[in-house]
Amino acid sequence: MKALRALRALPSLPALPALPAPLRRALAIARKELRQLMRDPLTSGFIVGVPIVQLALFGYAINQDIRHAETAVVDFSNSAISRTLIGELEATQTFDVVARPATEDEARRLLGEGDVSVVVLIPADFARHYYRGRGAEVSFLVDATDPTLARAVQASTRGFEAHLNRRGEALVAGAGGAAARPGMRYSVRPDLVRVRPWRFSVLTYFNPELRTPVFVVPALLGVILTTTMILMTALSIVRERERGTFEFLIGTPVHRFELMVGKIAPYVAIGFAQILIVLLTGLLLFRVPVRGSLIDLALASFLFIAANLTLGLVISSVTVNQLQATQLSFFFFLPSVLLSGFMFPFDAMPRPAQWLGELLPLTHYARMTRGILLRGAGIADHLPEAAALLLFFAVTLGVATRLFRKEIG
Amino acid sequence: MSGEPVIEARGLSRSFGRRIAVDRVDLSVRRGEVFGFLGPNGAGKSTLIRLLVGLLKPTAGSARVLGLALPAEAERLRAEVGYMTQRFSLYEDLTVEENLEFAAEVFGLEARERPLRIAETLERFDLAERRDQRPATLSGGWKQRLALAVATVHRPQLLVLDEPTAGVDPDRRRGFWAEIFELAAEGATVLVSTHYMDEAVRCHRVCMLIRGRPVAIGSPAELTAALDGRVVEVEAEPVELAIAALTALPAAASVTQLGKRVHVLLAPGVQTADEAAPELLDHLRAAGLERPAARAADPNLEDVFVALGLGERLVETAA
Repeated sequence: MKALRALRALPSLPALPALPAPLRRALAIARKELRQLMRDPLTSGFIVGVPIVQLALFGYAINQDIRHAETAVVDFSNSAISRTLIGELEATQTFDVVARPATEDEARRLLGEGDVSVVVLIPADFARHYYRGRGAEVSFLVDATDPTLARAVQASTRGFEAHLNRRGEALVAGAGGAAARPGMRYSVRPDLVRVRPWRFSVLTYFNPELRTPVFVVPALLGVILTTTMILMTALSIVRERERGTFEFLIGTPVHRFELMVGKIAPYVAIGFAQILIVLLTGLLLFRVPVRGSLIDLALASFLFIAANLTLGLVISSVTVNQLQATQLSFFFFLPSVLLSGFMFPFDAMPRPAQWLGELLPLTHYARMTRGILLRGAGIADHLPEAAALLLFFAVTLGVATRLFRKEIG
Repeated sequence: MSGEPVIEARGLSRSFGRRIAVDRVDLSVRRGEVFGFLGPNGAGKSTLIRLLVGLLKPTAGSARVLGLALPAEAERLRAEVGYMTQRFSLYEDLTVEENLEFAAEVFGLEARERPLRIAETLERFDLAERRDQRPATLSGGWKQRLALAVATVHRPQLLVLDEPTAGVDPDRRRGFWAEIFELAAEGATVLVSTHYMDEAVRCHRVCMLIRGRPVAIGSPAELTAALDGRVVEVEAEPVELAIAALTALPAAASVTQLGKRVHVLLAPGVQTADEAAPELLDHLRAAGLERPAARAADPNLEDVFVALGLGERLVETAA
């Protein structure tokens, strides 16, 4: 501290020392890059538009509040209690009863032809089971070609089930005994009484494998960054080659490392801007939870952005025009989306696909963002993921440094 | 033209695969010189220029430019060189002023001196009014001026111009060359490549390149002096007929039309122009042309090129 103060006291030191030349040149590149970006309406639109559009698109898909699913009800029970149930189902607004077929076969046919997407089967002995407190079972058949709908029905019935059962419990508790509960009226022995008279079973058809929807948003953060970060750095350099401005650049004292840093720097800022956009839009429109620390999210994102940008540099070094760069970016983008656990559950993928998935930055970033945003985990809980991103960054940086030529032809 | 050498090349060569683009070039260029590279397309002018500014590595030979050894110190050389590329290579989506600013920044001008220097440069090249225009909206001539402005904004010791006036109208070319000589007068050494003879003549010295080989180096006067007494200019009507008649003569090494006149380079070692002129007239009359005229004339660089191209060994003036 003392030495520092002494140093500051030296009168010969200039008030504002000029930046070292390499940093100055890198900054010049970054400034120029930003200028060009701002001037290009398509690119700047891309930066803001892509996150919002993607979030809106996926936001609809992940929206659990499915409303007005066309429903066929087969009421074999045709009792007061079953009619009450149907009324309550309609009141949730999740289900729109549009058909009341007489037989289960006909209901299945409607489901198969796509006239309805949900079939509710109320068995003939429903009322009897209900009143005996055995747990009256209602079956929901769901067309799960649309897994979102299936998940929505699942979630909705689960909530409905819990709601009805809670009401039952409240009645039991309020009356101080089993006798007061409507479901208990015909029960013979109190010890046989179940507190859960309602039991809904949901069968998903055509696509029994379902994923948890909340997984999508945090991973979407990574998907959006992958699209923009890799493509934009790759394009920004290839564009210079294609337009001939690279020939000017190589005649300047700009070192290739300065060029790489100057090209990357603006996109780090843009990446963070995009994260903000996604988080805010997610929060406002879809109430996506942010349970963990934003600093940890920023750290994880920084690693991920760095890894993607250096990959963009590698792509720019091996391609000669914007078309090639775009194609190569998408060649990387597709497996990222498919194998990272964004589209399909990682654990359900075959082993080789999992190994491939482990090589992708998005896989690790998605795990981290899910942990941080949904479970409130910290970066310390995701050290292997952070290490994987760092390794990916180091390797691609090495490759980029080797391949990236500040030379013509 | 005295002064220490700014560029010295020894056996500088570069090949791309099997093709030899630049073949054993020995050069010495002095400070303040306007030195031209003359040659047809594909003669290796651009490659030689890129070798001399350290943008390409030689496959053989070596060069010292501004006291720096190439290719080892190529990166350090960049700050001292202003390089104007053959193809316009500035940013079309930045304005004239922003392009200058960017160049000033990457060439390491201090933030303090930048605004003044940019203003000076804009003024000098008459670009002040166009500072907010983008190059895309400028004509070829103005783009050229902008490129020259950008190449000189950091006041380089060495200015390298690769076919700077290609595709620019003659009027603008003259103005452009006036700028080049002004810059040289201020102490810059200028390397310029061209395939326009009228431009090459203005250079202090030129190096003629044929298929990568420097076939002659010297001042335009020195080079043409070797062909003194070998050029006859003929006037006859119709010109086409005269050309046909003259081309048939073995004594004529080359016949070119210059406006209404026909420019004849005589084959080496046969006759002087004064001796040949009457013979040419006889021949033309025999061919049916009326009232032809012929007289000895001064050789030009084109003649030097033709002679060299035909394999003549002209005295190579000391490099």
